[in-house]
Amino acid sequence: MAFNPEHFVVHFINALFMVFTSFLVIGFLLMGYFSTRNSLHYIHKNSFGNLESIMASPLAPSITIIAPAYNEGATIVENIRSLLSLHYVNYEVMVVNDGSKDNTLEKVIEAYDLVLDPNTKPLMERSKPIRGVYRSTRASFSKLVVIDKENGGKSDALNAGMYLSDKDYVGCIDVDCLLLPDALLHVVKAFSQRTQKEVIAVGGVIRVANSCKIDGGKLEEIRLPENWLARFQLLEYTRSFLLGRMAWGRIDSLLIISGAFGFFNRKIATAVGGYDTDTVGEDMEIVFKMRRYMHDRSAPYTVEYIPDPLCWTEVPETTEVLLKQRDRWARGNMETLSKHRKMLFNPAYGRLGMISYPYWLFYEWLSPILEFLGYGLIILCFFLGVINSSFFLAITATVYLFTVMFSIYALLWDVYTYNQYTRPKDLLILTLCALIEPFSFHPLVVWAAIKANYKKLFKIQSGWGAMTRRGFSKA
Amino acid sequence: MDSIPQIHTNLLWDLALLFGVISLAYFTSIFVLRMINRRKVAEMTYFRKEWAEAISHIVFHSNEDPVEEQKAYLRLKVKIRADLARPYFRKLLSEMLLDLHKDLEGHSADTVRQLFRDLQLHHDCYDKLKSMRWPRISQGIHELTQMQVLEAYFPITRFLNDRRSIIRKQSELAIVELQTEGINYFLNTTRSAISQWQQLKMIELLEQKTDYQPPAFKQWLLSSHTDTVLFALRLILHFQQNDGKKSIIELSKHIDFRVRHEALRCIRDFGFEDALPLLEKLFKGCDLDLKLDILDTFGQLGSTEDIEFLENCAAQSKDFLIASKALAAINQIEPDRVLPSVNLESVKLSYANEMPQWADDRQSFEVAEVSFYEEVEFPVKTRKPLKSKEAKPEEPLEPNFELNLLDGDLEDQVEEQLGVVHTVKPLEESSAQEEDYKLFYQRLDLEERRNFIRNFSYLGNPRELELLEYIVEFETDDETQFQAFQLLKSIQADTRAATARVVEEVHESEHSIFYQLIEFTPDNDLKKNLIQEAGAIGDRKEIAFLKPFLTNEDKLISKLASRAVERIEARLLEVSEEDEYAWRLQILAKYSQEAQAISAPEEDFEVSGFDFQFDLNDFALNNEASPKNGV
Amino acid sequence: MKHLLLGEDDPMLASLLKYKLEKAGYRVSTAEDGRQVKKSLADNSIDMIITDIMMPYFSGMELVDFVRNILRSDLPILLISSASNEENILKAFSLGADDFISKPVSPSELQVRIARVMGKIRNPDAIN
Repeated sequence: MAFNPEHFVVHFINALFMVFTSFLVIGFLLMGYFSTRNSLHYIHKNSFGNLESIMASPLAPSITIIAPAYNEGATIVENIRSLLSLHYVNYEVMVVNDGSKDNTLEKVIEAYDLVLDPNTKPLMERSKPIRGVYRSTRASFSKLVVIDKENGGKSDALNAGMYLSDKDYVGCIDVDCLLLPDALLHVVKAFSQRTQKEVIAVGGVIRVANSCKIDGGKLEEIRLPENWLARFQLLEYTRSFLLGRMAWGRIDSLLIISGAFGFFNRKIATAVGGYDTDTVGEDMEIVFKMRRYMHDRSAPYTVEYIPDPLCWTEVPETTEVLLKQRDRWARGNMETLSKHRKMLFNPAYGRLGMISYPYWLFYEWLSPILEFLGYGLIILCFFLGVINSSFFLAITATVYLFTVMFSIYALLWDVYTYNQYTRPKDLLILTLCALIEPFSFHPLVVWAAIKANYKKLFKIQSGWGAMTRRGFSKA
Repeated sequence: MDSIPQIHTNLLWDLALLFGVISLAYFTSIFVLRMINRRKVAEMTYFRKEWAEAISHIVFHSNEDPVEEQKAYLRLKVKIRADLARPYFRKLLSEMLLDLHKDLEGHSADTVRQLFRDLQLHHDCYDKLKSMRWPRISQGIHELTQMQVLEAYFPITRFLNDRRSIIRKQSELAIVELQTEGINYFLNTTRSAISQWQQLKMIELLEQKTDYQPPAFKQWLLSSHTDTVLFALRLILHFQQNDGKKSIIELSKHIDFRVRHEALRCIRDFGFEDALPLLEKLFKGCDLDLKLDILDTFGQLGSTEDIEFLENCAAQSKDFLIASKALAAINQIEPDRVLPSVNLESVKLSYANEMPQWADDRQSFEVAEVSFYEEVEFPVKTRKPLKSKEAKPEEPLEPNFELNLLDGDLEDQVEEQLGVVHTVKPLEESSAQEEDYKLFYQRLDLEERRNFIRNFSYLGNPRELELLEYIVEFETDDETQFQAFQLLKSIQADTRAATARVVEEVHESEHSIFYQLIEFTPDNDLKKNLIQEAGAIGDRKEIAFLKPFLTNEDKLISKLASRAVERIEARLLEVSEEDEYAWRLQILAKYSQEAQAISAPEEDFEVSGFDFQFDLNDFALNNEASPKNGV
Repeated sequence: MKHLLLGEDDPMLASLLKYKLEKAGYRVSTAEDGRQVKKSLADNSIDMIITDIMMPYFSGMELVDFVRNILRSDLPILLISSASNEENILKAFSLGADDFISKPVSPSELQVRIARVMGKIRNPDAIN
């Protein structure tokens, strides 16, 4: 048989697609299985039992909620109000004003009657200098502490809070997030119910709050977002939080805790040096660090994950903001993965090294690149006239229908567990989203990832760039 | 060759079809599920609406009701009993009663519970206990507990050591809740680990019991099950049973360090000084956390006899945390003991390395912290003779103090801070300091060096740069070297900005001196005088200081405050910016001189602060500007 | 006969409390959510409002604010809260609620509190 380069290429591409597709399918099927098991277990376990009785106990562990704020003048007062009304006794709300250029600090001082606390003059070892610590003169706001510091970015602000706190646990949240009143009770329960392992961190679901009716810091009515981009993200979040993280939680290999709602054991978080200030993926990085820290000491530990809808946030509604956000995620991902590359297939890190890390590397980092290259190849083959159109069609249809199936499964699961969107119209819209997502929203996400990769590559070539201190905003 | 992809293609189409069908199935189930949910909710709501009044009637029934009502009540009961044959009715009714019970308290809650049992609904719960599935069993236990079916206690006890953790936990709570002696039985019987959450829950349950007489928990300190001992210690602490002294002290020898920690906590809380000799012996064999705990205990309970041990600890320990804790403990026993010059170095040394955990040990280092900060941020205040630091000469305040600070003074201060932070060396030998940094650095092991770099903070001293350069050049550990390099780079870039910032902060530290004064003011009269005084001499930041008083409950105070604010505002209109600044400096100079004159150097912080108050008060009394004198 | 407006979203509890209060000699109207409470306020015969803080559409706090600041009425208001945290209580009182009771509720206690609030209002010395 004569060697035919055209056929060889076609075969090679076919084989590559085949292998990749099977991996994807098997991976997701496993994910579906694990998440289902875990969710069922969780639901049964928590179908009853009164959380509230613990809230008043003076023995309950203490928590600091750290909410970094940068130019949030417009919303800060309301956001703090909602944070102050959580159902828990032993907690404080620490708002870190990260050198805002607007009137964030003034607004808070005025609304909560804050005065400079001359007794607490904290060090500035771990963050940019701190200008002052404010507390309220009114007893009803005694849980509020406001730190005013120079701008250093979100991680820097969180670090300042983390080192200033003297509580058992610290919660890092976005200040524009809306927490449900029971949030802290769930968190404390997750932290303290284990006996064999130490819980080093607790993460939770992020729900999409766009178009929801929020009044006086309370979620009054859950509504489906009106913006299509937000709807796609809602679907994406449902998939990733309800299925993805639940599955990782089942095999105790959760590697990421969302920066918008993450709680840490303060002792361990500070022992690893807090958040990394020179990556944009600090929320992922800290979990890596803490896990490695525990692994290196062979201490039994775990990371808990709460699937209850406790944290609601607004997601970007314009392509521009979305692309920026995804670009940042992708870069953070890359930086974290490369920083901890020692873990890859390192049996010393158990499942983390053998399953989680490779997943993040291949699925979260490599997959958009492969996909992008795939598109390129197909176009190339099409023009060269070597495309095996029937095979191409078949594999596209398979992958497409699989994706749709997975999304609809996530929806089904959402209806079964928390049943947030009850109107038939909403469910139909979400199904429609699942159907058109692969052509519309997904390419956007891939594009953002490619852009981030490209930028990263470019930066590396240009040598050590000065680290840019960035502020952070909603997106 | 073409045949291979052909097979693939067929297979793929089959798969695609499969996925499509499954998607469709899921899609249908979404709506089926939704329908089921809705129907359930609708049925329940209907049921509740239908029965709500009947239940209310029964709950508030009393024998004094008129005959008509009594009859209606009987009819209702008969009707309910007839319906009870239907399992679905029973299910809805018991759910309804459980829900209602949650919102009720007092007599009506009792009636609801009574009704639940009268209707034999608790037998359904018993049936649940026989189930094979854990969610059903634990639900049964939960419902029985909620409705306080006391007879359920014995059937539930057999689940106490169930291997399914959720059933186990539920039954633990049930046992503690249902019988007063439940906790005793639990502590006697349990062989499983008790999570912190469970402990909290159980203590909470005990707390909620009325007229509860806790047993002597010390009997369980003898248990062979470590978790029981641990929980018993917590209970002892919670219920303040301090009669188990000997057992508790013995437990500080326990092989499980968690028990030791808890025992130490009891020892500290109950003040068992007898434990100290034993702790002294145990000290060596403990891990770091426990050592710190022991030192804490010494700090709280120790006497001057223990100082020798602590000093040995501080001297011999290679660990900075331990050394610093030991010194802190000594200070706690005998304040000021570690301040003399010989030990000055080690205080600072330990303080520096306390950084990673400083928040935990904040109290022990209060003194050091206060001085540290005030010198950085409030140069004006450093002139008050409140410092215990003899190394710093008191200088009279000059109007151009900020320049002074930036030149020689800043240098001094920065050195001092560097000493504080990096433990490098005593202040006296300021020559060859840099060499010493290097020597010090060389002595550290890898872990310590990494820590050092991580904790390194730049305070504006060129020597720090030199040290960093040295590290970049000679450090063998890549990571550390790189971090040093990065630090160096960022510092070099920031130096100019940092210098500017110091100047700025000096200006910004304009924050009212009265905050400090009012803090030590014990009574209202002095406060009033201070407020008037603020009005007489204050400016913008005094307005901020006065604001909270505007809403003070004491009418007089709020009135005085508002008058003071008015005065300041009026004056602010007249005084231009520069004038104001110079004038302020004069005032401050005057105050600090006065303060210096009043308090003797040996006097400690609070006393001198108080004297200062007093004098101010006199000052205010004599000041003709104060409108409401001698109140 | 005094007319009470009871706002409570749990129909079971609402019915129970209504029954109890009617037995005690009050006339009771119920409302299932905040909007209904607001609507019922149009009825001038109401002498007192008892409402849960956590109500759909229009919370108890908002209601107090609405009655005091928009209607400018000093109609007595008693709040029922499912969480008796300090903030809630302080906020309720600072907005102008007359009394506060937390869940789990004792219906007898509620009755006593209602009587007490009404008594105070009737007593001219207490109004200042």
